[in-house]
Amino acid sequence: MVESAPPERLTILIADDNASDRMLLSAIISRQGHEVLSACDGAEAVALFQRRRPQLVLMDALMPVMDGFEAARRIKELAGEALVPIIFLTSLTEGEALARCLDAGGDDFVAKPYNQVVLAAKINAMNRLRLLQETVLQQRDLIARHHKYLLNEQRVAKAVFDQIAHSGCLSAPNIRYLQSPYALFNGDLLLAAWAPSGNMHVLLGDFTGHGLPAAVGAMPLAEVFYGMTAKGYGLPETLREMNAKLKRILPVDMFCCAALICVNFKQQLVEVWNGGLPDGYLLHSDGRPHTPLVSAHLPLGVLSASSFDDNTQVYPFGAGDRVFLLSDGVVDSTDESGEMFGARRLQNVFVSNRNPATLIEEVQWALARFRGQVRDDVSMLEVGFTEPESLGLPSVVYTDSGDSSPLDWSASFEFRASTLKRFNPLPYLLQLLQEVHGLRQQSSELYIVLAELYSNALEHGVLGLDSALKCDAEGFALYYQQRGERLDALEYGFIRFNFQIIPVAQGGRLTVQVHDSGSGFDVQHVLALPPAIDQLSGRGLSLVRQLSDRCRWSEDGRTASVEFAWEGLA
Amino acid sequence: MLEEHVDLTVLNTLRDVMETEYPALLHIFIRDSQARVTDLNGLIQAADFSAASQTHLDQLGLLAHSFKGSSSNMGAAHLAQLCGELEDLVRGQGAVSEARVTQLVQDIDSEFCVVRDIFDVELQTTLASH
Repeated sequence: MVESAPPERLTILIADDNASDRMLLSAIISRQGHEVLSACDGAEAVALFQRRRPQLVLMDALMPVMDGFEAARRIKELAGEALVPIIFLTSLTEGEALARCLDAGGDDFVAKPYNQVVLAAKINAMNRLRLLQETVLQQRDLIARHHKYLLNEQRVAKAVFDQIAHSGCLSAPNIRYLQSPYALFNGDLLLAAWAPSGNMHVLLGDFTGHGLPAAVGAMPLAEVFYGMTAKGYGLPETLREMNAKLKRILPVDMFCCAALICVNFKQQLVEVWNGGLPDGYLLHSDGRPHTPLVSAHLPLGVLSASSFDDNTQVYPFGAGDRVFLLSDGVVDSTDESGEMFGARRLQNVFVSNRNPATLIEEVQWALARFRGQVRDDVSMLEVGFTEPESLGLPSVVYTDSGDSSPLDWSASFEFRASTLKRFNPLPYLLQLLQEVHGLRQQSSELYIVLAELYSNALEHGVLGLDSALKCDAEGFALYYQQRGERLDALEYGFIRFNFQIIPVAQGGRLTVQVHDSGSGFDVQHVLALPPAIDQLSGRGLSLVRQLSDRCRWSEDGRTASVEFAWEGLA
Repeated sequence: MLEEHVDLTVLNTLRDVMETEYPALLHIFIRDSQARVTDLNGLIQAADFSAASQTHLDQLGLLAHSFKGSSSNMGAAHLAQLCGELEDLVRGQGAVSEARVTQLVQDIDSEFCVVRDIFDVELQTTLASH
């Protein structure tokens, strides 16, 4: 407010039992441009205040009926949060009486005889104070409104996001996790979904930053994760798509540290990709020391599609084994002296853990003891192994009627070396087969069998890998290392799929032939082996035999043929 | 002589501030002050008046305080000063001399008579000039 500006017209209440003083003061205040309300005792002053809400009060201290002290107290109470300055009109000289004025809520004093200049100056000063308070209150309310608005926005955003994020299978019996209810706004993301093959994909992500900026990337990431997983894509394709999408939509300083795992329950494998998250751990049930799952990649959304690395690590994963993943904030938690919690303390918790069910709680306790307070902004995830029978295969819901289902056709595909290196044809082929209504009932089985035949054709056929390598953990690692190397170096080779659909009575039959360019295998010998349930290799063929209606291999072991039949639909 | 009782600069300011209400202000002051003087006299002349009674002293104090304020606003400085002395006396510590109270009330009474006469003349003059 500029000093020389014309004074604001205020409504001012004057309370004085002395008629001549009241009259004089009214005249002075009116001449200064204000509207005057006058009362001749405290009770009248309070009543007038209630009715007219003046902005400022000039009040005599000693009055009959109700004195100025009491009236001041009541007016301050009525005024609430607003500042209504009260200037006491008094020639009181003793300190004690002046203190009483202040106690009652008085803001200033004016002595008799009145001085017009002093009065005007005090009214102006008090009015500035009053406006200041008004501004403070307005801004406080504005901030409160904004805050409420923001919270509401976050609530809506969270509700929308939960619809997407929780469409997955985080509630599966083999998953335990700890996540703050507002983790989305810490940038933490936890997703889990069934693949059509019966594999489980789980993602723990941590976006840079906090608040809404950290949350916006979660939506497209979740969409890609669920969409690709449901269509049967594996980790590499899903990772590539997630990376490309985040790279495209996020600003350069935003990215997502993430670990993605795929649990293959039937073959007892876990496939892991860690880009930028702290070390995860594979905890073994047989007492071997835990295997760290080290980040070997840059976070999602950093690299261009051409330099993105989708290589995953594969480990044997059986009953009692667990994968433990965590967001930063666990190991880099610091205590008062600035020391970090660190990986060593975390590993000590693993070692001392006796009851697997309470591992996450134990990490939390250790963290709380270390810092002296509980953190609610860290995410932890534990995925265990469960016999596939107890998990049940996911059911897929279709929206079309099936009237246009094609029922008599055949098709052949040949995928050659350069394609095999970077393209997974299974989701594409499966989608084609799902146009056949009668096959939808067994789409999981179909997927598993196709995936098995494809990986046999690729790994043992085209790449010539020896499954006997997978007899122990070391050989296992070697196997997957060789697989990566040979695939990279692949120049020749092919895999052919031949599909034939024919109607049979009210139903139909699918015959699939998978033929590869490899050197084949000794069919008689392999099929004669007992189902190797407790070994790391050999599960594939027995699974194929269990799940398809008929299956056989050509003499040279280069062509597999399976059949799926279906009855007429009700 | 007149200046000892009423400050003429104050009167000039009052005339200026009050404009047409100036005679009304003079009239109200004379009327209310007369009532106060009557009340003061009534209090100390009452049969049961005692300078040892806190109630009586409080009443005297309130009257003197109020009278002091309005007199000072009207420029009657000496009258205000006497009222102030009475207020200080009855609100002070220790025993209050009844004789001193009586004396001060008498002084206030006679000072008021002088002030009233001056204001009466002022009132007549103002009314006549309109």
